[in-house]
Amino acid sequence: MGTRIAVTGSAGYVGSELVKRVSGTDNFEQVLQLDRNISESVSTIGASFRVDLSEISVTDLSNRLKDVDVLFHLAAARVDWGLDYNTYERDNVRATRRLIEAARMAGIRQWVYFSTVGVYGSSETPLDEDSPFAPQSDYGRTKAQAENELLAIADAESWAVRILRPSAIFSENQPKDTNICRLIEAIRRHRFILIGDGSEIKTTSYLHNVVDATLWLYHDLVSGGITAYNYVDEPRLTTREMVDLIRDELRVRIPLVRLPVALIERPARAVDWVGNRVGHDFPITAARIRKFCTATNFDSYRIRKAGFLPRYSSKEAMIRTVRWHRERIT
Amino acid sequence: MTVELSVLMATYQGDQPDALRRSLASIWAQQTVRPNQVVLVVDGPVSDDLNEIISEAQYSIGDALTVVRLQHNRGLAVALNVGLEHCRADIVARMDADDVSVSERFEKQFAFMLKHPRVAVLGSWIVEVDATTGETTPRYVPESHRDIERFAKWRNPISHPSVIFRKQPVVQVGGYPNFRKWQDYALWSVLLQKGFKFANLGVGLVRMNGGRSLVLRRGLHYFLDESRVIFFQWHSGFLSTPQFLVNLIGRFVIRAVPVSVRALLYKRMRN
Repeated sequence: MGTRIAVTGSAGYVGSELVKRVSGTDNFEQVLQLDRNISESVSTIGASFRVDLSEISVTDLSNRLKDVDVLFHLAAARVDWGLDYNTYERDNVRATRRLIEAARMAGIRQWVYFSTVGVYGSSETPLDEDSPFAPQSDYGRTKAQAENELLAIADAESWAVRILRPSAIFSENQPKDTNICRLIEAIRRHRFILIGDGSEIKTTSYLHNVVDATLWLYHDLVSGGITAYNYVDEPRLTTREMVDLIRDELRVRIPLVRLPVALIERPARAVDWVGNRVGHDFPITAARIRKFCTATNFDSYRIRKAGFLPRYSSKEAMIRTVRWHRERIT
Repeated sequence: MTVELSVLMATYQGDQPDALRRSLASIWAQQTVRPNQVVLVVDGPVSDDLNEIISEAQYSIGDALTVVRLQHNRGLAVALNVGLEHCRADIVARMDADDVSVSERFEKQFAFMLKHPRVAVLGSWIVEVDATTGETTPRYVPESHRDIERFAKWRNPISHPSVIFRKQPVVQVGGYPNFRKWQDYALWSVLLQKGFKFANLGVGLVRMNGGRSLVLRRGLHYFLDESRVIFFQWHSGFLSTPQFLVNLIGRFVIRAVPVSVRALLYKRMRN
């Protein structure tokens, strides 16, 4: 009892759910929230600070983090459109670097760090935690760099660090820019076209399973050392299986329109060109089409073998989410 | 942290696979204090979906999971008694395949059992979650042994899904009496008669899918199942003749009245 924790990115999609969960138990003496989109407040269980990690001075930050035992670092620039490399670099690499310095000054020796399966790049065969980093996006590249920097220092200072690398996170109440949200909404509005045959595996991570995994990693910190874990829901679904599940749950009866990849690539690039000129995020971009058609297949046997058992299967998670979309409208 | 505790569960064909998964996750990955053994009795043949979840659990829980398969469906009492034989720890926690334990359940209950070596059976409040509305209703039970003993003459004083008990006394009285329903109530009455100490923790440690479905249970076969246990308690001397008659008539009324009236009765009984 009586652990004091700090959560960065506490107003974000995962961060806010994590804070909700930890505030509901009496396991923590103090929950400190750090986010640049949060109103400052102080309560009996903790305080929230409006902080931009890439701007605050290391001394200021370390003062805020005084007396913290465990740091949950979730803050990151995540969206896949409209951000340039510098933004990712600032929010993912520089912010983490400052946090590491501040943690060192404040004497924090335990971390739960949110990474991404994006550090590996795409693959037809499942990738496990020992696969080499080969990120294909700026997001993945900057997250990989931040993770490497944290690992180097954690190793030198003998910190206990648990790293979670989830794949596409989704749930009820999800932000509109998650890939799964886009997919469900496109199908619901009858604007969905299946490009390719949909046979590639797309691993997903249900928010509630991810938060459970985060807390599980927190409890695992007592055994010390540094360990990274992938997380994906099981059973792993192919795009086609996912689409069929969503269509079923939304009771979409119109036939599924399918197009070969080659036919769509060029027009999409044209849309990209327009989008970049007018500064609008069109739902179809060449990058998204490419991402849609590549398998993102990851393996999370390690965390399962270590004893983590998710509460929801991929199918149940998808059904719950689609139901939320359906009920929000009708 | 792991403690010397066996969790006793039974599953059968009628269980929802997703519910079983949640139930297993709640007693393992999510507990602040983990049991060192989970005994899962599979009562008769089950579907592929359930088997898939059992193998997933075997992967995550590893050697700590003991799966006991019964060839035919034998009912909860037999399944639990067979499972009990496989429990290695002296303290056993019951878990239902469609309920969820809150993450501090074992931590709180195990600590209580260590501190109170004379207590043989420990339950807690449970929280009924309405599947459609998400509304939660706590089901209160008395906390002290004296109150439990008095309460037990009229109603089940221990919420079965929340119970943790010492294995030795339960084995000593022959385990769960073989009834189709209320086998736990029958067991508690035997243990109370033998003078074993009971307690309940005044917090909700188990979340149970309840709501309308519990209230909907009516009909002659429910009444007959319940009256068998009431007969048993009278026969063994746990209930006096007047208590026996009042209980019998009371249960008859509850099972015979229309659903709306019973919903009201349930509400009154809880508060």
